[in-house]
This record gives sequence, structure tokens and C-alpha cells, in this order.
Amino acid sequence: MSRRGVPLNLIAGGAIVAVIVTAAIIGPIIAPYPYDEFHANARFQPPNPPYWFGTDEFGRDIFSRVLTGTRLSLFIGVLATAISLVLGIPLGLVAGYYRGRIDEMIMRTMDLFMSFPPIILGLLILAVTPPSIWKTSGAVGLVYVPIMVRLIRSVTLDLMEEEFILAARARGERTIYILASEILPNAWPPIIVEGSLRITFAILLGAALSFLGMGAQPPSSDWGLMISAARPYLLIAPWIALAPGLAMCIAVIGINLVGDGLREILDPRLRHRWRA
Amino acid sequence: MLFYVLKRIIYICCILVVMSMLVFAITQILPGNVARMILGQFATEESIRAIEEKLRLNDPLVVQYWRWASSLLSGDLGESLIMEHPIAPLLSTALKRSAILAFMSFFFVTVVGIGLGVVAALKQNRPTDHAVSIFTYLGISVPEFFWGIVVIIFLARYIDWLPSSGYEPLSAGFWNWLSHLILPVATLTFALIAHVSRLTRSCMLETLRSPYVTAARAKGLPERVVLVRHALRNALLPTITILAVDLGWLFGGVVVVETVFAFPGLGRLLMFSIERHDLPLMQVSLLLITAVYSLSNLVADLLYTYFNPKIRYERSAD
Repeated sequence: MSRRGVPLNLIAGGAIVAVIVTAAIIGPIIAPYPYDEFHANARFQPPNPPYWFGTDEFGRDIFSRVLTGTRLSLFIGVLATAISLVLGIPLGLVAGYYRGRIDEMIMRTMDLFMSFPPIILGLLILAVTPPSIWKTSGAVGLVYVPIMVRLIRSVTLDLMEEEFILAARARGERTIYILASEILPNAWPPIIVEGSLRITFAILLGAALSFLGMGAQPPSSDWGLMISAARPYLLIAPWIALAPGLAMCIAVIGINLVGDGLREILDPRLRHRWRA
Repeated sequence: MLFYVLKRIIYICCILVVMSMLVFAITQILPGNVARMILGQFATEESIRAIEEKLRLNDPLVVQYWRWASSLLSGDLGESLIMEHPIAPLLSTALKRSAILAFMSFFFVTVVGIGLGVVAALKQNRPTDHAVSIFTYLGISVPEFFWGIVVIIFLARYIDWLPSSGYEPLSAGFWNWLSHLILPVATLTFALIAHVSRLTRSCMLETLRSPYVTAARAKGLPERVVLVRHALRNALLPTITILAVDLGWLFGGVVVVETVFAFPGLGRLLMFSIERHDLPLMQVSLLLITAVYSLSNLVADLLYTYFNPKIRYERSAD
């Protein structure tokens, strides 16, 4: 499945992701219409030029809305994953390094949070405050912290067995140094693979929360929100719901492929490439 | 073994207690002024005071929590603010309906998922295998609410004898009852099949290569017996873990699918309480869903331990 050493997954996925990221960055600029511009005389148009994906109940161009929505979905996905890493990496490192009581405490707390189904935990956090995209990203990030902590803890536990760690401790290096400069640099491969897959989960969870009304708010063109708003019109204008859904499908598949491809490259090297 | 079960049950009880504190803390303490949260920003001073009176929100927080927790334990689930109706009957009907949805979906995920996995393993790398792979991959690439929507668009439009919303009790006729369940169950099932069938496939492939399967074949046993009694049994063990994860996941997915299909179950009740800021109902629903999730995880854990005698101590956090 490789061409010149680069997995096919990565090439195909990378192409898709490149398109998505480009859309996210320049989408609002190249969109033919502003995402919230009504065209009262062109409501419920089926996909046809000049409205490539058709129009919705207000006459807004779906193509432009999907394009501008790319930015939102990607934003939630990346920010949530970043939050889960920023919180999860230190906790995982500490739990794996110190073990004993501290490890117990951290893992018990993580177990507690994992006792909630993910959506429910997200709803719990968002239910009591007026919704916004930042809060949704934060909630999704928090939901995924326990998983990150588990992963990093287990990687740390593996690494603690290595001789160069023992050497560093014998040298009398400070803990922070060991964690940051010996363990962390060698922990990147699984973190990268897991992180990239986490982005897809974060996008899906964020879309679900927006669908339920706990994320982006109208007139924003977040994909989950668009699908939710399209529900009364499913039988007369299905494109309003199908377009954002398909966009989400493509984005998730693309990122998944990249994650799979990264795993293929990074996995064999996981065991053999230590920086001493 | 019994000791292990007892230990786990006690652990779950502790988790539930802490969970109730967490739910209470986030819904009643965090928002600051709870009365204002319930009534919205345009509430009058009078109505705020009325709610504070009614819910006794001015008592110390610990007292409020204690009151709430002890009444829950004694069976009094309180009254819904919006509907002005005791919560317990609402919850039990909703729970029953969601349970039907969850168990039917779980049944199909198990049967169809394992079935597809076995088929894919037997026809490895041939078109059938790839077809199954793509089919299941689609299931996990898109949020389940989207599949629900797609299903509604295409099926309900062209096959109008399948209703796309609502619920009818059994008393209204068997087909009536069943037809309202088909689409939500199908959506939930589709979302979860991927993991189960992928895992079954890889486990089957591994098992089929093992010495004892070769021995069974060499003995002259019919292929069917080899497959079912030798290969499948051993391939299924890891699958139980995934099914366990899925059972829990179902309870999260149920919320979204019930919203799409306007199915009056626990998920829908929860969303209703969140949208209308019905605090008592919200708290109890959240707690109930989470409790059921924990309990089903426990059952799954115990089943796995039962089937795999190698693991009789606590789950390693790995």
C-alpha cells in the first residue's frame, strides 16, 4: 500500500485535508455570497447555478454557507483536541512518572469523568450557560481529557523502563527536565496519531452538540446547526441537510485517512527510535 | 469472583454518589444565580424571588444538596418545573421506551455486526470483504444524526409506510408499535456496526490460522462445525469488550437519534429539560442516564470477566 515509502492513506487523506483546510482559511473570501445573505425571491432553489448547492428557506446560498461553516467545524475540532492535549499531557506525564498515590488520584478522577457518556458530559457542561462556539470547544476538549491522560500515562509508563531515563535520574536531573526533554520528545508519535483521530471525534461531537442546540447559534453556518435547521424541510428541500452532511463526511474521512497513514509511518518507528 | 463483583458494585455506588454531587454542582452551583438561569435574562425581580422561595435556593448549598440527594434516595424524584407534574412517572415511561430502542439496537449490532465480520473474514480481500469494509466505514464517518436524516429523506419519501417520528404503544397494535421503532433502531445500529464487524473480522482471521482450527479440519470435521464451535467461540472474546463499549455509547447516541426521530424517550426528555431550563427534571434525567450507563458498563465488565478467567482483578488503567 506504499508508494516511495509514503502510505496511500496519507496521500489521499492529505489531499482531502488540504482542500478542507484551504476552504476553512479562504472560504469566506471566495464564497460567492455572504453566508447570511437572504435572497427572498430564490428560496428553496434546488442545486443549480448560480446556487451550486441550492438555497435554503431564507434564500441563502448553501454552497457559501457550507464553505464558511468549514472554518467553524475545523475550529471546534482542532481547539477541542488542543485543549484535551494541553490538559491531558501534563496529567498523563505526572501520573506515569510518579505512580503511587498521585497516579491513583488522577486516574480515579479520570475514571469518574469517563463514567459519563461523552454527549451527556458535554450537555452537562453546556446546559447551564448560554451557548457559544468557544464553550462548545472547551466542553468537547474536557470530555476527551481522560482519554488523552490514559494514553500519555501508558506511553510514559513504557518509557520509564528505558535506560536513558534511568541515566537521567542518576545524573540528578530535575523532574521537569526529565518529563519535558526526555520523555515528551519520545512520546510524540502516539500523541500525533491519537490527536489526529481525536480531531475527527471532536468535529463529530461538536456537530452533535450544535445539532442539539448547544453549540453554534443561528444565523451561523456551522454544519451541525445547518442540519438541525433543515429538519422541517427534509422532504421538500433535502439539499439543505445533505450538503453540510456530505461536507462533514468528506472532512472526517479525510482526517481519518491521514491519521491511519500517520500511524503506518510512525508505528514501526515507535519502538526503535529513541533520542538518548 | 463474588468478591470481585461486590467490590465493583461498591465502586459503582461511590461513583454514583460523586456523580450526583458533580451534576448538582454543575447545574445548581456553577451558574451563579440559578433563578436567573431558569427564568432567563428578562425575568422580573418578583418572579426571581418566587422561584427562589419555591426551590429554597437561598439555603446553604450543602443543605440544598443534602435535601436533593436524600429525597432521591427515598424515591421522591421531585416535580418538573415546566410541566408541574411529578417526575417519577415521566421518567419511568421515558426510560422504558428508550430501553426498547437501546436493546433492539444492541441486539442488531451484535447479530449483524458479528455476522458481517465473519462473512468478511471468510471472503478475505475479495469484493465482499471490501464492500463490508466500506459500508461499515461510512457508518462511523458521519454523526448518527446525519444518517437519521438521510434515512428520513430517502426512505420516508419513497416508502411512506415507515413513520419517521413519534411512538405508538403496543396497545395500538403490533405493526404500529414496530414501525415507529424501525428507523431509529436502524440508524443506531448502522452507526455502531463498524467497530464490531472490523474487530470480529480480524479476530476471526487470526483464529482461522491457529493450530487447533487446522487440527479440527484435519480431523475431518465439517467446515461448519469448525467455524462455529472452534473458531467463532475464541474469536468472540475481544468482541465482547467492544460490545460493552457500544452499549454505553448507545446511551449517548440515543439522545441525538431520539431528537431526530422525535421519539419520546429519555434523551428527548433530557433535551426538553435543558431547553426549557427545567432544573429538577434536568438533574434527575442526567443522573439517571449516567447511572444506567455506569451500570451497563459494570454488567459488561462482569460478563467479560466471567468469560475470560484470566482476568479476575481490577481493570488495568491501560
